[in-house]
Amino acid sequence: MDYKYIDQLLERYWQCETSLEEEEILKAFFSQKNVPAHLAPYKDLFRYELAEKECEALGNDFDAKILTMIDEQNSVKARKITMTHRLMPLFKAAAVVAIILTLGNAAQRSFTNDNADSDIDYANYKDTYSDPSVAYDKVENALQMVSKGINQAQLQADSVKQLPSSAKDSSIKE
Amino acid sequence: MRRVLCFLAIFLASVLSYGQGKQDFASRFMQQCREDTAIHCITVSPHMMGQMLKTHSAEQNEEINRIISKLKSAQIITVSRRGEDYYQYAEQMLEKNRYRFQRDKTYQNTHACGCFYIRTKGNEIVELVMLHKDTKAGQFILINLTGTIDEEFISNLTRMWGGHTAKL
Repeated sequence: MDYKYIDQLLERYWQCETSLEEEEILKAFFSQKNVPAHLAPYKDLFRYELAEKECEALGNDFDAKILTMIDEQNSVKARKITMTHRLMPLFKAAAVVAIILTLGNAAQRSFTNDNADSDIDYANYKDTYSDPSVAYDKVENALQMVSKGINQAQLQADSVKQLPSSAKDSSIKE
Repeated sequence: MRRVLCFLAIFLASVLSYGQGKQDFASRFMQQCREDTAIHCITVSPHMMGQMLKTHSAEQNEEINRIISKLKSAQIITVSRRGEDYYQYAEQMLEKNRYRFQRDKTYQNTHACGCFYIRTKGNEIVELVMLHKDTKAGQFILINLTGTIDEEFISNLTRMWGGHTAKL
């Protein structure tokens, strides 16, 4: 059998010069069972194209299947949301605030004023008097009072110590 | 759940640390009695203490300046009536905070009595609170000093007005 025509068609196929009709001839040729040995390597190529063509066709029930799948996805299922999950954003926000406050507090303590060793925040102190002389007088009076108090307490403590033990006992009994 | 508890713990810890240990006793007392118009408070801040020392550098003030230089702040609270009630309230507050303030000396005479509370940091007294009530006049005075209240401070103070050296 002369396969010259087929060889020519193949040659033109590789050069991309074949028409659709000529490609159909090639496919029809390679779809038959008995193909000469020298053309057998190309058999699978043309058979594959035929098989692909068959598969590409969509069935009549394709639309129905897709719509069913979409409907299934849209179905709403009840999900249990616990109180913990519901309040989770709140907890996260609280944690962020806490971290900011802690860092701010630490920064304030370490960077502000020369009273870093003190545990009292003097920044909140508002002076009653703007005139240092008036403030000085008030502090002096207060110191005088503290001094008198300490002295008085000391004197009383000393006098109790100096009391004879019998006098202490009697005073307690009284 | 563990994460939630962790968040809450961090939040509470930071809020508590932020709110604690920021005030001296007089400030706390004033905070408790902020709606009471009978109470009068004089505040002298560390900044004013510095100003006072600058303006009173004369020789006659040298002794007092030495005492004042050890102070950081002073607050003087006065109430001219129902002094007994305020005295008791202040004492109760101090007793409630006895982990912070220790009771020290007390004194008493015919018309007045008082007591001292101290707050220490290490071996140093950093805050001194004096409660005084005049039973005759019904007056209450609270003096709150902060700073380095060491032996030198006390001896200078008692020598300055009393001629007697005492110890706290």
